[in-house]
Amino acid sequence: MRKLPGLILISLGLSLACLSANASLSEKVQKRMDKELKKQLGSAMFKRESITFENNDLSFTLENDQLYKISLEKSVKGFVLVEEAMGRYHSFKFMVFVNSKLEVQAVYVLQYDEDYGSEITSKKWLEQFKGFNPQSKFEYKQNIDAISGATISSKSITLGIKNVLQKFKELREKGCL
Amino acid sequence: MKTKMILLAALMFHLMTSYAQLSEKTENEPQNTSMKLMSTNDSKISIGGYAEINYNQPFGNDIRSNGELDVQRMVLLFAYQFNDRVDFVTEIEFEHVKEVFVEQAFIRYKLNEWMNLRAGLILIPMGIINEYHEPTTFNGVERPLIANTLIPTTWREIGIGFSGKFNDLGLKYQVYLVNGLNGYDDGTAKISGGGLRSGRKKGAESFMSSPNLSFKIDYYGISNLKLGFSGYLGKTQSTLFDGLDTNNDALVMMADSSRVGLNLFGIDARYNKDGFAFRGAYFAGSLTNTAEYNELTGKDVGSKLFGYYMEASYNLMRLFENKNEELVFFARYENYNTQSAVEAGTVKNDAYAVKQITTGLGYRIANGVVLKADLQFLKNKTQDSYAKQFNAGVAVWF
Repeated sequence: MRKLPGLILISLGLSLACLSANASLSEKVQKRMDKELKKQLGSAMFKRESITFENNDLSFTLENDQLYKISLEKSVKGFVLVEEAMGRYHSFKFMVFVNSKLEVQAVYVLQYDEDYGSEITSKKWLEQFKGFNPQSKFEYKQNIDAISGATISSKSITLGIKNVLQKFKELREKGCL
Repeated sequence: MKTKMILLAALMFHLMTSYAQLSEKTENEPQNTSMKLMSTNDSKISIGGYAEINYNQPFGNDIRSNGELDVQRMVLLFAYQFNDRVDFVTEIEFEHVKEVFVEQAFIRYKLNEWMNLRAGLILIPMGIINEYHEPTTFNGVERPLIANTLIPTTWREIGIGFSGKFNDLGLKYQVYLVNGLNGYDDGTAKISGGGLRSGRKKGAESFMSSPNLSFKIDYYGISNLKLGFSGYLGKTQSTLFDGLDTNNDALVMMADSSRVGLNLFGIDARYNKDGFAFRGAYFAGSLTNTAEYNELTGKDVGSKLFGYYMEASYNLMRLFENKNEELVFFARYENYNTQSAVEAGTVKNDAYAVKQITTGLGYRIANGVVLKADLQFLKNKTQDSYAKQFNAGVAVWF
């Protein structure tokens, strides 16, 4: 009798999990990306095109599904770079959406698997990065608010966003964007 | 014991050499080891650690005391990512250089976006320090006393449960079924009016007479603020339930008297903005069956316990417009009583009512290294004056 609550807890949890565990992760990531872009652009009619390069002299590796050009009604609205960074024990994926002037319009965490540091997925916290460009100076705990209990992931994403902006800068300088 | 040490050293050596092969370029920005390791997409191992090297010196009365110097703890953290959904995390601790413990060893299995399954040796989510006990994340050389006597940090048990988050709501949750604290072990009563700490089995051949429930909810929906509510419900464990003839009423009654019911609750809050931080925690517990337990064991377990602490701190470097460095001044007040109420027949002991004031500085010389120094004033209700102690320490987290 005493063991019953425990068994109910476990079976409930597992059945709930099975109900929602079906779609593949990368499809989910793409759906989330589009949902955020729809919110930013105020319209679902945008086009998201993947950009890849054959021969390039970039100082970093660019994967096939990492960089996108976003256009709405034939004008380029901006670009998205999907980047991976490290949380406490597990990596996570986030996207930085910049306009054609390379100013951050939105940062959105696309996939955050572990429990530690998930506070960085908070939209309010991520709004701090809006408006930054490759020339901006920003540092965790200085002009970026600290998050108790999420030290590693918040420092990691701050550094990640800086790296993303430098990558955008380099892509523009080399005529890729 | 020696075999275990050799095997552990061999494991660490192997992991260290794997790390050396996996790590790529070094970055200009300081990163912790786990960030460096994972800079290639293929790396699945992360290694981290923390350490506290402390100096405690009582002073101020007519009695001279020696100072105590100790590598209080040296901890290694390993995590392995099997795939997108499953990882394993373990924390191995060396206390006072010679005692080895495993503080965490669990598998995390991602079921969906808002739910993970966790199984293994898990940290009990109660208060702030039990889960976040890296020495660079709290002020003061020593942990708050409450996170020692009231909440037996580092409190870990073997169990299974769920953890997860609802991002849009700003909520995190954890709920586990675990084996409980050891209240009675072959004639030895493990808990007393002084608290529950001796009841920890630390995952070393723990036994279970009945499962306990542990849960916590964290709310971080308001900027700069983190709130937590935790609970722990269950009965302490007892060896008298092993091989118990359920038809023998006298033995069943005795076994029942050898355990205490625990209903513990905690609230905690953390706020930080512009160099100023505040944290506080409050715990209250009600223990049942203590009169019977005390009669059987001769102990003085109270029927209620409570405690709280409040701390404020400020980064002094901000006064000098120097935002790069951190010199944090803090002050903390703690008040707790592990025996705030007793059932009839139990002797109340005022020595269990304690107050402590701590104030000092923490100088962060690099991300992950803090030099600390503070003064502590401690007294219990039976004493007239505060005992004074100076502490200094090095705290490291990588």
